[in-house]
Amino acid sequence: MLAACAPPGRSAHEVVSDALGQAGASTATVALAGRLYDDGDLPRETARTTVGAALASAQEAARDLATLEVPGPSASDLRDSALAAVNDATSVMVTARAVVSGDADPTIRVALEDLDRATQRLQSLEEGNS
Amino acid sequence: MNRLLGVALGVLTAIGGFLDIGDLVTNAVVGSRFGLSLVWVVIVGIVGICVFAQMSGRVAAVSGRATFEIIRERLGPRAGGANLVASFLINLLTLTAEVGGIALALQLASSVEPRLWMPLAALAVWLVLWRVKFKILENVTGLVGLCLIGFGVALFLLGPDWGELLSAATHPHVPTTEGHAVYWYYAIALFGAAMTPYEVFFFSSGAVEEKWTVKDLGQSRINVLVGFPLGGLLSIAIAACATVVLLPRHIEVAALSQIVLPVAQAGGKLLLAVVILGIVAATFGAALETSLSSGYTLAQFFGWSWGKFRRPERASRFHLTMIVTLIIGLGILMTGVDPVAVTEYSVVFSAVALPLTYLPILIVANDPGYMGEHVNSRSMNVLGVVYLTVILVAALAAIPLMIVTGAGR
Repeated sequence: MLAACAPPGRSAHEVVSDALGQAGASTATVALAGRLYDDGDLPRETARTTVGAALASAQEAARDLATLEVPGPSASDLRDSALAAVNDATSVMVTARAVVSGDADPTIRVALEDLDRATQRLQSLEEGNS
Repeated sequence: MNRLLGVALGVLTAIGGFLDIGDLVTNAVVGSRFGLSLVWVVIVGIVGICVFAQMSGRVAAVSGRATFEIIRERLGPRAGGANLVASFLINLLTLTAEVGGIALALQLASSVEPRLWMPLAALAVWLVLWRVKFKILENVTGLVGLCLIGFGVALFLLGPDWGELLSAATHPHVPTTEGHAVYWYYAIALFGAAMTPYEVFFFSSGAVEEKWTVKDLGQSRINVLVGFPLGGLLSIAIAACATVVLLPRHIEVAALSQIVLPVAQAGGKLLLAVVILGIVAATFGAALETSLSSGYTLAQFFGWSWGKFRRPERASRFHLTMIVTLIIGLGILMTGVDPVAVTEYSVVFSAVALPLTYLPILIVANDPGYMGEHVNSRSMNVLGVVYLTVILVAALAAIPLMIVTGAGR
C-alpha cells in the first residue's frame, strides 16, 4: 500500500520503517544517557550534548515522515500514527533535556519512565511495519 | 638503552596515532549495527596498511623520495596530476572530518556548540604546524592518543560474554535486520578507515623529514608491524563496546556522543574524561597529519621546497598550501554540514582513491633503479598483489554500493 512519492531508491514503507528506527534509537540514547547521568557516571555537559544530538536526529525522522506523500487512507493512517509517535517521543526528549540541563521540575526518574514508554511504542510500531 | 627507548616510543606513537575520527565513527557504527560480524575487515585492513606503510617507508628510506615525487616520476605529469587531484580532494575531506571531530570531542566536555570550537581547533592546528617541531607534534599527539586504550578498559569492565563475542567475530554473517548490500558497503567503509591514504603520505614524507636511511628500516618495520596491529585492536575494542551496550538497545550510532556512552557506563566520569582526551588527541593528531599531507602532496608533485625541517620562510608554498587547505576545510564545516556524515563519506572515498597511490608504490618497491638490493621479497610481492586485487575490488564496488544503499541507510 505504501508505495509512491518516497525518495528515489526507497519505498515509502522503508521511509516509515527507517524513521521509526531512527527515532527509536534517539529515545533509547536519551534513556541511556539519562540513566548514566542519574547514576553520576555521565557529566552534565556530555549528557546535554548527547540529548541534543538525539533530539536533532528525532526531528530529522519526524521531517522525513511529515514530508512523505502516500497513496490511500490506510497508508496515510500508518504514516500519521508513526508521525504522532515520533512527535510524542520528541516531546518526551525535550523534557529530558530540560531535566539534565537543570531547567525543569520533574525528576529524571519520571522522564526516564516516559522515555522507556516512548521507545517501546516506536519499536513496536517499527516491528509491526516491517 | 637509548635505542630501546626509541623503539618503544616509536611503537607507542604508532599505536596512539593509529586511530582517527574515521576509525572511531566507522567502528562504532558497525558495532552498533552489525555487532562483531565485520571484525574480519578490520584485520584485513590492518594487514593492508602494514603492507602499504612498510613498502612506502622502505621506498622513502632507501630512495630518499616521498610518495608524490615518485608518482610524478613514474606516471608523468598528466596521469600523476589526475592522481594528485583525487588524492588531494580526499585528503581535504579527511582533514575537514578531523577538524570537525576535534570540535565534537570538545563539545562532549563542554556542551558548547561545535561551530564555536571549529575555528579555534583550526587555529590551534595551524599554530602547531607553524611553531612545533615534527618529532614533537608526532610524539605528543601519538602518546596522548594512547588514552583511547580506555575503550579496551571499558570493554573489560563491561564484563561481556567473551565466548559470544569471539563466536560473532569468527562466524561473520549478515544480521537479519540489515541487507547484504549495506553489509558490504560498511565492509568497504571499514577497510577505507583502516587504509586511509593520508597515513601513507604522512608516513613516507615523515621518513624523509626524519632523514631515515637504510639503517632505520628495522625500526620502521617494528613501528609498523607492532604499532599498527595494536592500534587496530583499539578499533576492535570500540566496535565491541558498541556491540555490548548499544546494539541490544537498538541504538544505531549517528553521533560522537553515542560512541562514548559505553565508556561512561563501564568506568564512569574518570574513564570518560580519559577517553575524551584521547579522542581530542587522536583527531588533533590526524588533523595535523592531513594538513601536512596536503602540503606534502602538492609540494612534492610540483617540486617545491617542503618539510617541517625547513623554516616556514624556506618552504613558503608548502606552508601556504596547509593554511589554505585548513581554511577550506573550516569553510566546509561552517556551512553546518554534519562532521560525522563527512567522516562517513571520507572513509568510503578513501577506499575509492587507494589504488591511485598504492600501485605506484608497489611498482617502485620492485624497481632496482630506486631500491637497489632492497626491492620487495617474493613473499612481500605475493601479499602486495593480493592486496592490490582487494583494493581494486573495494575501489570499484564503493560508489555503486553507496548509491544502492543510500550511503548505508
